[in-house]
Amino acid sequence: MLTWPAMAVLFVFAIFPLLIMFVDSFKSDSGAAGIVFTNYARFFSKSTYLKLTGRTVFNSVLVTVISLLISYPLAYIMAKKLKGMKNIIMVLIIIPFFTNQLVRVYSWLIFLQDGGILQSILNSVGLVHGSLGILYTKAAVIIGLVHAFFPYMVITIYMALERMDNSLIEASTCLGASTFTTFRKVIFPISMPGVISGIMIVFVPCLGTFVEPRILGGVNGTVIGTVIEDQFFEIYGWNFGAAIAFILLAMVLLSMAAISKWGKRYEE
Amino acid sequence: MSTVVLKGLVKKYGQNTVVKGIDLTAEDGKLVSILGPSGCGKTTTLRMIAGFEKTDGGEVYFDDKPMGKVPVNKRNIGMVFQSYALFPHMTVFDNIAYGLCQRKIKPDEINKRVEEIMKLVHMEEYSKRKPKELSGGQQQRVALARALVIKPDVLLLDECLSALDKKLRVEMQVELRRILEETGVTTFFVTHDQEEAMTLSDKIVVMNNGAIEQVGTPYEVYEKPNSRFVAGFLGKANFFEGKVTNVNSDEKYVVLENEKGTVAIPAEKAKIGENALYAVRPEKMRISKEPKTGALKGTIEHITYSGNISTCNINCGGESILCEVTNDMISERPQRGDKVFVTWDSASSVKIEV
Repeated sequence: MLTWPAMAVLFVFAIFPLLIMFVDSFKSDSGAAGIVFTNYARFFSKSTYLKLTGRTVFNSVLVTVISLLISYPLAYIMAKKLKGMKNIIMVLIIIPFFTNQLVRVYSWLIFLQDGGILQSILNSVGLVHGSLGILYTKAAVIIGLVHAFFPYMVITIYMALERMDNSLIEASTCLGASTFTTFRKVIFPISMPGVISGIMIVFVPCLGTFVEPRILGGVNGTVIGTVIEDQFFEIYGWNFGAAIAFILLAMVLLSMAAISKWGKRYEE
Repeated sequence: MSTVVLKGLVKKYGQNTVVKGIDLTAEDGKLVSILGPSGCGKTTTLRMIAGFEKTDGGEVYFDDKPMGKVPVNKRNIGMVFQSYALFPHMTVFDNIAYGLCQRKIKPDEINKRVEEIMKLVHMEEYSKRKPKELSGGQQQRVALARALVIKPDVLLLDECLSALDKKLRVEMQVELRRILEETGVTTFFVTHDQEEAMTLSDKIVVMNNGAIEQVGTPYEVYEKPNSRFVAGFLGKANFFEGKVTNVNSDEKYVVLENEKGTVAIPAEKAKIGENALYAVRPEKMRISKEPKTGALKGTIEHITYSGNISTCNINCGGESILCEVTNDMISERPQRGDKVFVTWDSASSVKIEV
């Protein structure tokens, strides 16, 4: 009974629009009447779209792996080594999180562009001569996405490590384990639930991004997200766009299911 | 198994010296309890023996071998933590085998030793369980087995019984005693529970404010406390303090004078003119309704009935005396307001050097 208002809001603002989109995805862009599967068939029959899907997944995996490599040591140091500095570092990590997406992305644009800040630093140090050529490449997209998503991962891993009883580490040490063995056998497995939520929270939204790929990647940044955006705002192929959006949604749900199944194994 | 010697152990946190030069010996195979109120430095001392805390002075020796430069994982110690610290992602078997795996022991040998130790702690049926599927007492046994299976030189127990409920705690005390006698490992046991320390220990170390107050057998520290702190911390005690104005060695009583007046108590070994402090355990006192020579006259102000005993607060002319009487006679239970005479054996008055 008490949940009815909440359910109503959810239906009107989330499920209903989605339903309209779903119905649209089975309509023909040429205006022909009736239910058609041409939109879905078009996506799966063209190698361009399949390649784009592959690139999107690859980008997301890469961003997730890089985020993990940055976040784990950072979260570990914050949770287990630092005392006073912890809050300051946490604020620094969370700032991009609260920054407007466009501001963040355009800052990277200015930073990375030829003749930009990064280039003048690298030129003056002598590491690079002339232009960088990094903007409008896949690398620029990855940099932008890692910066956007790694704070989520730091937070989930930090929470898992912070929650962990330090006497577990001490128990392992006094049983004769080296620091490395203690990490491999005790700390890392126990922090796995945090790592897996981090992976979920980075990988899944990464599949659908289009702002970073468009602005930082240019023509090299085309992913499913940008294709959907083009269909809606450039080409006005709403029905095809809706179909791709639902394919993306299916990918998102599938990967969420797979990741949470993986996570079940580490639940205490 | 080793003899563990602590020589002048010091620990400082900034300006604060939390352990102030501790000397202590635990002979091979003995159980030494470190007892004290929270913040007295007992856990810090234990952690210095383990090597988790660096010492700021002094040295820990295992069988004459200085341990100062030996890292924790090379010290061969078994430790049971207050929270047990069982690895939540491993089974009981894997938890116990963990220390053996670090020692590069053959799998057959590991299986054999883990099974042996699980029998010793009566956990052989639970080897496939995860820690969260065990009760507190069972987790305790696993933690103990994990610490003992590596055949440590010294076993360290950090308030490890305090999380259990009273009944289980008493059961585990008996179990612990049996297991430690069978393994014969030198053990340090940190606790704030004096009853637990008395039941388990060969030797009790009473600590206060980072220093040792008294070391002795449970009997010695309870019956012959050498300070007001020890007398008050281990069990309850009545204190009588004042200037000795009269000593009667035939009838064995001593008269003390203090700001509250004069009081004559059964006691020995006092010199006229000195300031003396006596401690008397409440259970050593007897009350009766008939007057007796050398007895203190008083009124029962409050009485707490707790089944086997009753604890009476008796007002004896300004001195408030705590007295425990066994409830052996149902018909003659003392009542609040009763006028009574309190007396005790003069040998029960323990003179404390001040």
